[in-house]
Amino acid sequence: MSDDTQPIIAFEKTNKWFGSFQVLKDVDLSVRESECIVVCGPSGSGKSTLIRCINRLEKHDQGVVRVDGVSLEPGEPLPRELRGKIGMVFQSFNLFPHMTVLRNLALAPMRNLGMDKEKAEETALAYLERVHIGDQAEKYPDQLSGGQQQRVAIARALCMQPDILLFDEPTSSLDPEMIREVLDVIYELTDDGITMVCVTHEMGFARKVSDRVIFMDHGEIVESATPDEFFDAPREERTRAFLNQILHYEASA
Amino acid sequence: MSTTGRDSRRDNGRVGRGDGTPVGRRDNGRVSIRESTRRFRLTRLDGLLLVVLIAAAGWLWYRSAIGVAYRWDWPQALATVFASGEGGDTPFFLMGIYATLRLSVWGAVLATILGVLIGVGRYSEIRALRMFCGTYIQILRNIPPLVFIFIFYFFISSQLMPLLGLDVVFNRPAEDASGWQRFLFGPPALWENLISGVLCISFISAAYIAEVVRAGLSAIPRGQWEAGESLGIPVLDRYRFVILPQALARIASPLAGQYISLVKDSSIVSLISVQELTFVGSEIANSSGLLFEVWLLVAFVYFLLCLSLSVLLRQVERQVTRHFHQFA
Amino acid sequence: MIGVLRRPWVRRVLSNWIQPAAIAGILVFAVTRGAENINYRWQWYRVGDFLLTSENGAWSAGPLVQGLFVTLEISILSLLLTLVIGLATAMLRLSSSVIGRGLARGYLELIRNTPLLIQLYVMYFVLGPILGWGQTTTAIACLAAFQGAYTSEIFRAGLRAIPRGQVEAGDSLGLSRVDNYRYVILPQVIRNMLPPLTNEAVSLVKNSSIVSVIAIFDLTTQGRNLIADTFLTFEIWLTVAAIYLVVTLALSTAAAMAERRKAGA
Ligand SMILES: Nc1ncnc2c1ncn2[C@@H]1O[C@H](COP(=O)(O)OP(=O)(O)OP(=O)(O)O)[C@@H](O)[C@H]1O
Ligand SMILES: [Mg+2]
Repeated sequence: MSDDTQPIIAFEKTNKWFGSFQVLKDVDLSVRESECIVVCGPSGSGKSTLIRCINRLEKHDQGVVRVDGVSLEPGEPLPRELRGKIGMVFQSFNLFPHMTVLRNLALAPMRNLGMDKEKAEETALAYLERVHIGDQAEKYPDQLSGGQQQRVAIARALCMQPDILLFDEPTSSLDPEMIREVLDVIYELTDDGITMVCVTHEMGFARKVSDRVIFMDHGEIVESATPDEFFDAPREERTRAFLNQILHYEASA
Repeated sequence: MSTTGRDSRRDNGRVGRGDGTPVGRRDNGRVSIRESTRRFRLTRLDGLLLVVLIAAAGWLWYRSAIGVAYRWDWPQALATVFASGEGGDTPFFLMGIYATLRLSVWGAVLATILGVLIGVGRYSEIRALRMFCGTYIQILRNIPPLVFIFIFYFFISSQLMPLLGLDVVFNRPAEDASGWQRFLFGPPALWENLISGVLCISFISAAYIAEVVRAGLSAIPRGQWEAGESLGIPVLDRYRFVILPQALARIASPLAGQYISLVKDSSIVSLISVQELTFVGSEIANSSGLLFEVWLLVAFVYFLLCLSLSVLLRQVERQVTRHFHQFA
Repeated sequence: MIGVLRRPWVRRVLSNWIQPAAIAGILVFAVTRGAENINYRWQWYRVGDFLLTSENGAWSAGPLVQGLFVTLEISILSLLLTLVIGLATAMLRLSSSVIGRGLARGYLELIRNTPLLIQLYVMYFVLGPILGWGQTTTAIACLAAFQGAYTSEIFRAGLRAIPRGQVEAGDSLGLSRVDNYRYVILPQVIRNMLPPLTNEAVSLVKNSSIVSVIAIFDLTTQGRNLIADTFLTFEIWLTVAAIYLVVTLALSTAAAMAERRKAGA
């Protein structure tokens, strides 16, 4: 695909309301293929809603959302051809508690892609190796640590070989000592050229990994810049205030 | 704190399945009344209750023997109840028991299907369907079953049967029915009778089952649905592999309770002349005049039915939930 | 075409008004159509007289309203008895008395494993005559015995859920055991149990319709009698159902409000 002309994700003047409360205000955003974007901003600013509009866990009310060349109407659910093409990693992992790790990974390829069991489990094992927990395949989610569970969740999303991978605060519910292992795994994925949109407050990670950082506040995209610009010379006052807060906190923590 | 330890141990020992409390729940920090009463009322309460019991039993005996001068005649009652019909047919009473069993089994099957559909319908994307299912549950759970049965019976017999063409099916000559049909549905002459009962019972029970299903589904975290959706697992498979197994583990126990209720509720269809145990009981009681014996016998049979069903269901439940991996 | 349906305002109108209206429409259509099929002639205008009758300008309760009063009376009386039985059973089950626990257990199993209708028949045909009870007494005793078994679970849960700290606080303040219960424990227990107890009241009203089989002139019986007289089967049953629905839903709403108040407090 000619990635300069055709963005893989595009928001144009996108609006969304929850009742009378506007969560997304005239959002414009385009993401090129293989790009890694970090979205940050204060709590309640609409970050989750933004990325959930991409895989249609939320539906926008106005404007345009285009994903993988498909135009999505307001209120339209995910069309069939995009199912499984947009992976998501959740803050609370959302592994299926009644299945082994292997089953967790193999289910979607079997059911969506029609893979047979052997093939699906083979694929699953390969991805488990990639996130460095090949030896945990037969365990159940609750027998794993939080960091391991989140890595399983990443592997599970990868098993569908998605074009886009969305992360919604993947490390927020982890104990500090496990955050690193998960971020490392995500970092390793950038080599694959998979498009990633990641909501996170890990600023070190944002700086090292992302191609672009987006700052949201009150449903608007306030600033969008390369990591260096964003952290060293933020243009907007609100961004500076936010960074001050966060970095100050990190320094004191 | 040593007292806390003692309390919780005691509680755990006594928290059991039928108690409505989850097994193994720890009641740390909660005090049980038992603890306080255990100490100072032990023998006195026992003695008091014993005296009351004996007095009550004596009074009952006195009233029945001398007061109303009832002459118990159990041999006669049993003989009447188990007497074969004319031509060596199955005894009427037994046919009633069989009918109740058939009613319960088919009622449970239909109620489960309807209940699951309605319960799942509460989660439909389509608002009209959601509303319909919600209204159904609300109404059926809030009007007396008796009233529903009277309305519905009138509706079924005048509308539904002709509409579905069932009246034709059921009015076939009896000789057509094969052995297994008789086994599953009873004597052909009573098929229409049976199906009215089954429809009534299952429509009521479906509302309760739907509520159980709805509650079970709502207990599943939203993230499970979202994970399934984001992985692109087709909707039906999402239900089948992700939601249902988790819901089933939660639903199993209340569902078992609903099945027992269904068996019990089946007695009210006797009032629309469905020839099940209660109906048969009242026929026999009235014709033989052995009111006391027959009604106690009927109660005893229901008691046995329900008790064995609950034992059976507990086994099944254990089997079902065993296959689900459950950590806290 | 499909695109239009996806417009936000179109969707909102559709979902808010048209769909519910469609449901109502289908239901009404089904019932009227069904009734037409059997040449049913609707005579709703006659139902009013069964609710309220006016004679010479003086209003008096029609049969259905009279029936409702009987239903409410029986429900209230048996509710009171239910509370007594439920509390007693719960306390017996939690007691240290072996006989007490056995008695409670036996009672619960007996009630839970037999149909209400059979309980009523046994009470009416066996126990009633022996004890010399009339219909109304039998009905109330039967309903209370039935509901008491279920209510005892609520009391039991309520009694078990007293926060230990509260008991200890009362004790440490030097309150006597009785005062501790009266001023500290019971008020909390009752507050917690009010919503589930209201649900028991709803059940009771619903279950009370079964006493119509022993010829008590409650709402259900009145309905049956009117139908026998007038053949207005649908009108009267639907009215009766609506009356029950109003009573039970009002009670449930009260329970829900009490719950919300509690949660808010
Ligand atoms: N389903 C919903 N219904 C109503 N309001 C909602 C809903 N989901 C989110 N909101 C509101 O929308 C706003 C944005 O929510 P969103 O989850 O997108 O924020 P966020 O930036 O991800 O915040 P956080 O960092 O806390 O996750 C919040 O104020 C939230 O309360
Ligand atoms: Mg969020």
